[in-house]
Order: sequence, then C-alpha cells, then structure tokens
Amino acid sequence: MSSITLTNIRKRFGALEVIKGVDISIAQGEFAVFVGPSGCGKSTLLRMIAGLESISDGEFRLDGELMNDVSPDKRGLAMVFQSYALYPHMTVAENIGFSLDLKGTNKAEIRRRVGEVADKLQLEKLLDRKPQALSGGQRQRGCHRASDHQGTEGHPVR
Amino acid sequence: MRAELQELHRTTKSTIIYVTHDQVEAMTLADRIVVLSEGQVQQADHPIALYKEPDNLFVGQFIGSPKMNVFPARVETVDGTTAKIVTDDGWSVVLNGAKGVRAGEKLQLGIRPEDLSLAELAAADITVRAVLSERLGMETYVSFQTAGEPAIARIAGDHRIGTGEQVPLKINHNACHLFDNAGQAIRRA
Repeated sequence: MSSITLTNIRKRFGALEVIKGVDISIAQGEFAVFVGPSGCGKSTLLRMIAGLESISDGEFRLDGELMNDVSPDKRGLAMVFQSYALYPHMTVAENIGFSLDLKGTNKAEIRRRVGEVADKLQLEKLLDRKPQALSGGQRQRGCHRASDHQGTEGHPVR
Repeated sequence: MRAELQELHRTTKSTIIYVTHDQVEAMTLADRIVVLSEGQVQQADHPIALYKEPDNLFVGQFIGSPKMNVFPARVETVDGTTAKIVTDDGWSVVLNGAKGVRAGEKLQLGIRPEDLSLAELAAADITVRAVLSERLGMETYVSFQTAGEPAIARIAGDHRIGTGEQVPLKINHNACHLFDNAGQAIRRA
C-alpha cells in the first residue's frame, strides 16, 4: 500500500454530521493509529477509507488518485475486523482461499496461494481445521492473512 | 498481538491504519497517532509528541493513564518568561518558558500523575491529603482532593498511605502543562 490523503472529509447521516472536516495525510509505509472516545468517528472514518461508507464531502486520495467513488474492491486495500471474520463451517484453507474461489480462480492456483499465506503465518498444520478448533491468536492470523491475501487482489474482507 | 502486528508491518512494509481503544497498543505501534473527538482531529503526531506536547486539554487527558491532573489556576506574576502560577487550591509553581501569559490571567495547570513524586517534607512542593491510596506493588496511586476534580499522584514503589494522611509531593516543573480557559495549550519554550 500507499500514501493516503484525506482533505476536509465529512460524513453526514441525514442532518447529523458525524465527521466534521478531517484532514489527515499518511505517508507510504506509515503505521497510523486512530484513537478517541466511543462515537468520535474513528471507525466511521476507517470504513469510509475502506469504501464501506460513502464520503459525503471532501477528498480521499490514495497515491494521489481520487478514491471517493471507487468501489471497495477496486481500492487496492484490505480491512480486518476486530471480531474474527472467519466462516465457522469452512476450514482454515477454505477461509483463506474464499475470495479467490468467489472470483473463479482455478483450484491449483488457490492451493498454491493458500500455501504461501499459511507458510508465512505458520498455519500450515492447521489448514484442515475449522475456526472453533483454533486458538484466538490463530483465528486472528487466519483473518489477517485472509485480508492480506485479498488485499493483493484489492478486496477488503467483510 | 502487538508483537505480531509490529512484525506484520515490518515484513509487509504496508501502510496501516489501525483503530483501537488500547492506549498501550496506540503508543507502541504507531508512527503517528490521530486523536479524534466528535468527528474532528484534535491532534496527529508521534505518540511521544502527543504525550509531551499535547495541543489541547483533550489530548493531554486522553493520552496517558491515569489521566493528566488539571488544576484551575491564575497567573500571579510574570517576570520575563518566568511565571508564578497559583492554583485555586492556594499552592503555586514557578514555571520558566511561560511566554505569552499575562499577570491576572486565568488558566489551567496540567500535571501528569507520574510528574508528582513522593518527597521529604522539607523538599516538598506541595503537601496533599490522601483520600485513597491504591497499592500496585511497583507503584502506588495516591488520590487527593483539590478545588476541582480529585487528582492522582503516581508514586514509584510500594507505600502504605492511609486515608487522611498528609503526603508531601515534589512536582516535575519541566513537565507542567499550561492551557488557556478554552483548553488550548499555551506552549512553554
């Protein structure tokens, strides 16, 4: 990923303005952390960057390119949720490979890519397990990687 | 979890935006923390810059735990860039680098709990009356009553301090923060 520039970003739900003109620029490779009390708008802002919420006003640029109306899967970024975004009825391998499967990627390619991800994360021995048979950390890694993986395809995890 | 995220960032070199309620995560992981309140950015900077030089009272109290104490106060005298600040509790601090304050001005004095330490009576800047002490082993939190909200001193080491006991404290003057009545920081030079 990339440099991010938010210019005078606003979010309105009807008459209620919840993001009131935010300017932030995040350099390439930077680790930025949003903090604030509940209801301050930090999650809304993140969802707007990911494309899960529309932007009412202002500009969001990724590497200088206007992203306001680009659909989430075309933004080239990934989002991980706090709760484990894993399907309970699928194995770790199926979870990791799910977005590729949806796209109709062939089975051999999915297997190869899932293998790469599992290797990076030391999940190789757990690929046939279902989420309930994993520890918390293993579950987190499962969805981290799923997103990273999808991230390279420009597909945020829901 | 923190170690894993750090490792992930190091190996992928990706730009990351992380949303958290966890102070320690924010302080240790971030190149930059963006503090938001009511849909607006309060300050965005390196974690230590936020800790040392908060732009306003909100950021001052949001970063750090227990939160920064705030004492309503007034500027008594100004001599060059040295100002004598008297709190509504009646004790005072003389701060250098306090440029741009005027005698008689009302302001707010911010002191982090960790910038108050236990002192010998003779060397104390203030003596407070403990209303509660919490022993954590490695440190002791002493709450004391003030004219405003109760304040906390975060004292290194284990101390048995009873309710009502007089506690002599030393103030780290260099780490005192000044805010105007609207809560904007008055920078010390």
